[in-house]
Amino acid sequence: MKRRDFVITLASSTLLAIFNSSGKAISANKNQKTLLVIELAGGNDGLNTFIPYQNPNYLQLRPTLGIKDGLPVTSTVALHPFLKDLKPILESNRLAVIQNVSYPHPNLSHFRSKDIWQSAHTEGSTHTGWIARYLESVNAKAADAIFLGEEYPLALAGDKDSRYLQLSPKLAVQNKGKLGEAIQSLYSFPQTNTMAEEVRRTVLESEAAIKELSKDLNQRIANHGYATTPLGKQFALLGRLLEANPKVLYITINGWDTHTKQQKTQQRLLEQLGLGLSALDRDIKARGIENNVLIMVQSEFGRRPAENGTGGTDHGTAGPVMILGNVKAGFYGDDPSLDSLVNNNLPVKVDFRSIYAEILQKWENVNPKIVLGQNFSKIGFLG
Amino acid sequence: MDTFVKKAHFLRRTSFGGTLEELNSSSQTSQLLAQWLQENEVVSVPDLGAIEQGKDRHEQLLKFKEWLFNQMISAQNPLQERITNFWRDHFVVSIKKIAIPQHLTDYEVRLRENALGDFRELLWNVTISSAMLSYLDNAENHSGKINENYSREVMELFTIGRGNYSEKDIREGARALTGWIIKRHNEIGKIESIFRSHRHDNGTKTYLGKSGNLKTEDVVDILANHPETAKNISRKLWQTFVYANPEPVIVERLAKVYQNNNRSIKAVVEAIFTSTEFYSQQAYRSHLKNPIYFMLGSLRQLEIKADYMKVLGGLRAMGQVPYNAPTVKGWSQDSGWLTAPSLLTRLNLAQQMTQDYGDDGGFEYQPKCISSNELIKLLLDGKAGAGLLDNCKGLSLREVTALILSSPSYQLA
Repeated sequence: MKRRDFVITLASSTLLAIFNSSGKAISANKNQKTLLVIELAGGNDGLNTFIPYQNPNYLQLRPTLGIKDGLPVTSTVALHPFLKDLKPILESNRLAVIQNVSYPHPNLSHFRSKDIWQSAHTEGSTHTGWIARYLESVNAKAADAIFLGEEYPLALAGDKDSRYLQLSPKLAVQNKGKLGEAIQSLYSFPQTNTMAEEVRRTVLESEAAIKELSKDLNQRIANHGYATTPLGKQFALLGRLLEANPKVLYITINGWDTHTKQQKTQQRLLEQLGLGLSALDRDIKARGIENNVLIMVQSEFGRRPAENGTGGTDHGTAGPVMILGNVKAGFYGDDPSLDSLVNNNLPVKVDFRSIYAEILQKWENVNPKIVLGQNFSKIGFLG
Repeated sequence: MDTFVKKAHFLRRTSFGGTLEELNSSSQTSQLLAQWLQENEVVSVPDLGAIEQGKDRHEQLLKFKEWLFNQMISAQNPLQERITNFWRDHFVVSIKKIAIPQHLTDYEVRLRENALGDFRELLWNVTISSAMLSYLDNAENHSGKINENYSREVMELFTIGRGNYSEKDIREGARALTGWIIKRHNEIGKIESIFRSHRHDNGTKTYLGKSGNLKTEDVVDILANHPETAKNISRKLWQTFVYANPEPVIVERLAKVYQNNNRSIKAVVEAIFTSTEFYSQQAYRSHLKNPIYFMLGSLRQLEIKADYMKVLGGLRAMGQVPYNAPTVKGWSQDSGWLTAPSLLTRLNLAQQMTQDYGDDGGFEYQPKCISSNELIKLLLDGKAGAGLLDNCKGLSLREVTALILSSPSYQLA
């Protein structure tokens, strides 16, 4: 059997097991660390997320979009008012924000920039994802990483053809009536063809896993205060998936490309993000695994400091990265230099790969050079 | 294999699965093969009009996809269509990066015109297409500002494969590939690839053992005539159309066909479909249908009329939309599709595609088969397998169809 087949087989046969053993798995694997990556796809506007409220340039650049009622958290930074749920997390020393993050010669194309962030290759080809390279370096199994969503990310695409687990809350099979019963019954017959049998098992196990995952979701939502919106449910599902102790969880949240109607769109998205993160933080603490989960929130680029003429902002360069968990809390990477823009965009102060490097080194205990090809200086958000 | 099973197998590999009429017709597989290899279907790729932005551009892309789905389902020459698909999966470009759908209409013409031709011409046409120049950045590659992206991938993924070149070959190849730009003519919706000699690096390069003031033409010549290319293309064609991991002797055999016939893809394809191994048990039902195959094949075999937005929605949920591969390596094969989204979605789609919606459901299916047995013949070569017949009892023909489309065996090609 080739390695690829092995990995896939393992994936389907362990799928059920890992989701069924919700209670036991935790105690059995108390030291398992999980990195949860939340990708804000489309380019989140960092300047209206962590607002440089004391900088006079800010409102000059954004006469209509500038936010005047932010929630000050330092002498230079105010939170977007719809991120108010992050304030207690910041105050409980569980949130680090690294500002002005990008890479040398930032690319303003969504596609290219996403590829760069996800591969951690700033030049040339972007075949493999940095997370997949990390997972391969520790001989991870297919079930060690879970992607929640539809479009499988490059970050989790490895050198081999195998894929890590992919789930979506939309996957419930409609098994109603006579036909539904007939399908269920047909799937109880083992297949003689090997591939057909693989299909049968994957279907049965995926179905059972999804049923298991969705079972207590409403209870979880009520217990920890997740929002009842579709995005709130996704966050609750992340909370549920953490019980399977994966090494990596990955989710993409779309909609951040605010060329128009930025105010309303970003407001809604940030509110969902804030609510989701705070519910997840409560959920994690309630289970006593607050030192076992590290959450990174990133976006492929920030947006142009000056607002455009259509109620939005165009593609920019540097933006903030949030790290939630057992961190040395606070703001890193300086305030955005609104007075020294480069081609109308923010100058880059932190290479995103130095964040990855610190996570690899301090959180995963892996030599960053193996995954990133070079060393980076420490930022210090992990102490 | 009996004659019927043989034909069903043949049609699953030369098309996306046979229709009732095709399976029951008197024409033999050898006749069909000869006909499809000989006849060149001239396909008219749609003119999308001027290059637009935003919503209008998005609509042009949808129009292109609608055309592509229809073409894949109802091609006059299904084999030519499958081979075109093969090249689309081999020479990956992604609309996510290249953005303008007019790149794709041009690319489709290039792939289709050369799908069964000389591999050298195909490689040349792909290399200088605006789609590829844009996707792998060779339009940015010019003297004094070298971009190695295409130079690397053309060797690693498209021709000779890893282990047959050095980093120096990549650098030298990139220099030889300099000089191309793409020029947009927005009003008429055309994108031109132009060679600008002042952007070309005119120095001497040494590339895979050949030296001189090499240009793109030379790179394409060297790669297309390389023995490893002959092997890799042969192997990949065999893997796609016969079975995975062909024995070395088969690869050698096909590579010779490639080399003895001036890199003729048609000659290799003919050798593949006329080989005895093609009808072996090792080949039979050895592939797992990918999402595109599952969806378009179901529509084709059952002659279901479908709203293209429904098709697109289904493909997206299963995780495979044409021209949207996650990386330049392209899509996973076979067991790479043993995933929850790819398989569970099929069970829902099977029901959606076969329901009776009256006037507006996005799918219009009129069962032509008059019994469960006939459906099993059409969709499963007459092999019901354990449990199927019993579970058909009491179901309508539409429901039986959905049950078969949901079955593990139907996922095999």
